[in-house]
Amino acid sequence: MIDIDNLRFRHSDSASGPATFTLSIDQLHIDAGERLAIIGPSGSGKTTLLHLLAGLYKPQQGRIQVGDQTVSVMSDAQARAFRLSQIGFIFQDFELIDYLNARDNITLPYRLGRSMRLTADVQARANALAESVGLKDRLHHYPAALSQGEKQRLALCRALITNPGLMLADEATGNLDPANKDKIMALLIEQAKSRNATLIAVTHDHDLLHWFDRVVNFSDFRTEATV
Amino acid sequence: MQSLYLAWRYISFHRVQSFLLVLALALIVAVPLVLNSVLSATESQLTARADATPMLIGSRGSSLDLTMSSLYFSDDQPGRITLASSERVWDSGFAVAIPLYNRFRAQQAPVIGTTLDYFDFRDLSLAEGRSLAVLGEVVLGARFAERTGLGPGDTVITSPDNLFDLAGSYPLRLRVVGVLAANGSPDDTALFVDLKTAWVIEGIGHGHEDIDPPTDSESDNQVANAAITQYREITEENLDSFHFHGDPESYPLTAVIADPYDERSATLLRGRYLDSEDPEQLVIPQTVISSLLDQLFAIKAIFDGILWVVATATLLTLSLTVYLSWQLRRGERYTLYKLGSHRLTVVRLLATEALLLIALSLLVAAALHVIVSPLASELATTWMVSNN
Repeated sequence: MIDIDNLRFRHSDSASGPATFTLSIDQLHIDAGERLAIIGPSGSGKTTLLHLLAGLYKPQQGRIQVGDQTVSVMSDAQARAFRLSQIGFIFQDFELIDYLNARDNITLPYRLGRSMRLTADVQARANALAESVGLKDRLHHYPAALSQGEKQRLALCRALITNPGLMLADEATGNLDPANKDKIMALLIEQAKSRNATLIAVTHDHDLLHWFDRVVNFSDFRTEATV
Repeated sequence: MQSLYLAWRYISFHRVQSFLLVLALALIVAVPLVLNSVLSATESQLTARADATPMLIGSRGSSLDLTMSSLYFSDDQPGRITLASSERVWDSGFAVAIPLYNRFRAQQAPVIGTTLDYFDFRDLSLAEGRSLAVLGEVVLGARFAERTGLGPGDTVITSPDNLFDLAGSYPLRLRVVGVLAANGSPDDTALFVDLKTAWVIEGIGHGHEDIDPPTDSESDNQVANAAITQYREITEENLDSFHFHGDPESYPLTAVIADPYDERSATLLRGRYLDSEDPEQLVIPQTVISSLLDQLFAIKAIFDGILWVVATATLLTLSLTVYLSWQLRRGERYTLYKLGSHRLTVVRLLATEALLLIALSLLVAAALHVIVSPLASELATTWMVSNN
């Protein structure tokens, strides 16, 4: 269960001077295991919301509750531990590590945090995940040797390896051809269902909305861009 | 451990770039190390030989040529002196005189004419065979023997002075009777013959060998044809026919090693050679080599300065490379952060990569030092000896 109350977030873009972006959400509730799509025009704050949910940004006002944890008041260390163990992130451009092979990319979260132990069980889980997405024979390959679809399936495995309760997909199918889009989306939904994980996916693609339980249009929220 | 693993994966994935970085860093470290080792080894080799040779007497002229020719058997040809110079030292009663004649070569190695006193003076012992006894015999230095595979029972022919000088010294086939034990000095690379054998090569001493009988029955002419051997040889059959012409005191030498009996004798002997009109000079090899090394270290100081500039420029270039790599990997850093990594974890990862590269560079530098230094030291000593 996710609850967002009275959220106000102002984001300063230091690179372009005093320009600011403000996201305001009075209330948003997402059930545990719900598959939610977020749509909206560019700059409406879709990705910003994912980052707020993941504890990458801290809101100036309001509360973000994920399960029994209040993300909005977490320290940096708590937020990092939360991301590592509770969140599976999937990105539009995959964000795989080019010098790690597929197996090492999948198990990467276990190499980043001291609280995570890369055990034989984790390796077995990585094998099983790779097999479930059709990458069993590609575990020793590096990302450069994989197709776009394979890369996103690999990124999905990395997101799932920690058995997260919350999956955040940011334009996960944005770089894929139509055939791969449906395959990846089917996989994403299937894996989220099988784990009873909450899935929040940002997308521009209205053809994919039928996969989701609910669609939130960010045009309905108040966002401002001021210079 | 995880940082180490990830750092190693990065380095091994970008192996060409990493190799170039390691090589550049290794060279920055290895070059001064090797240079210092080489200079230190060269210094100790040159100094040890000079320290072990109290005095040299030779023709007035370059003291460096005289020292290099007498101690390191270089190609330098100091002016000639005669056997009388050796007698002069003996007659002084202040020192043992060990004559040296370094003029000929065999298979690119110096053939040194001397007396048996030289072997005692240098503390040279035989590893194989026996010492010089009869005219035409040679004892080989250890490394020369190893290089050529020659040993007692074999023969070695001296090189002609000049292939086109028919009047020049004629090659002599020498019989190898012994091989010296290695002692890490220039003696290892030389061949030693008795002074008289050296003078035979010079042409002062010679035998008479029959050539072909007259082929033209109507004429008394001896025909020197291709049947004439291309070298001379002293055998049991012709040994008795060998003889010397002229006054023995006028026979040539290149130097005399003077080994004074004591400090007082040394001082008195030096006094005998102070006259600037004297055609002979007495030099102290230690002083000559010390002066040479002073020049060498002055050059080293300049080289060190250049090296620092090059090293600084290389390090700046490497820093730029690391900075650009850091910038290029901004996306990767942010991805790791988004996944849950501490920002310091990423810094630690990059630091581990840098440390691994430095460690590898140090290993390569150490390996280069161990492998190259002895070879370079030898080459440097050889070069110094042949160029001074």
